Amino acid sequence: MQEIMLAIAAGIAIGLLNLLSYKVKFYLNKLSTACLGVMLFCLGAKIGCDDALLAKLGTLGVQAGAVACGAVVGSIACLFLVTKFIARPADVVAEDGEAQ
Amino acid sequence: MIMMIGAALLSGMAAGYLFLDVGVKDTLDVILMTALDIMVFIAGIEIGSNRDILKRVCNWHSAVLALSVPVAVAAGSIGGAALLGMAAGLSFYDAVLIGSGLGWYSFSSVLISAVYSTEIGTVSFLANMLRELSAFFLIPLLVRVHKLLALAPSGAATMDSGLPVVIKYTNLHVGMYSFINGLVLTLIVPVLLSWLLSMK
Repeated sequence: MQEIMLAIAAGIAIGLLNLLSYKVKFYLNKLSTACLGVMLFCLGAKIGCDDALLAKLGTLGVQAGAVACGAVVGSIACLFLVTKFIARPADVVAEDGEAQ
Repeated sequence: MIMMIGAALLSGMAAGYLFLDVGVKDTLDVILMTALDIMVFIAGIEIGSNRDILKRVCNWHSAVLALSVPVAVAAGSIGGAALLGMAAGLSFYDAVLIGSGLGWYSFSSVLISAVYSTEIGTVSFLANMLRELSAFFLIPLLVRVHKLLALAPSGAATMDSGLPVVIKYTNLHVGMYSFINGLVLTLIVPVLLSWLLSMK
């Protein structure tokens, strides 16, 4: 977790100092998408290469799927209440004025 | 984007199954963490480049909202995991324990396996990993209802692997809430799991 915190802190610092041009930021956005692809490929490869994990996916997968489904649906339901009673439309408006 | 995500994951699984063995897991972890660091670094640059967004979060209403989001995500995760976990045959304690991983599959599964049960640790790994994977597919759909709902599926991962996806489908303002949500949940998980494990 430390390197994640360092990476975001360094990124915010560079962003605040405004050291990068628009063109560099454009290519960094492309790099971010490429990294997402690499990350998901590696995550898939980690699952695919582990026979023991693949075997467990069958036996424990139902329980894990149920818990995951419950956790996701529960989170969405509770967060929906927050969006109804606490959040204001201005809280999710982008800098360029893009409205929710 | 969803097609790219699905294709990358499935082709990775196929490549792993057909060409790789378990010995490469450490190498894959290094590549994974490096890609993650780059993504988070770039997300940080985007956040830092927008000083106005930082200013917009520094007020009472935004602070209340920023803390309400992780509280809602944690309560919903544990409650939902307990309900459906018990329906799938887990005990209440086990279901709550797994739900308390809040999407941080690497940490929660290792801790639960080491301190409590390898089997429940494995279920925790799968459940929290499925949760993180589902986020990549659910976020594009949830933002159509409300942009803040993009913070619900990933749990603690909204500050790292989920952050670039949240920003891509919403905006940097929601990205700030995403980072705060992940940060608070990441701080909660070790305390919550340690407390629950001490009760057994």
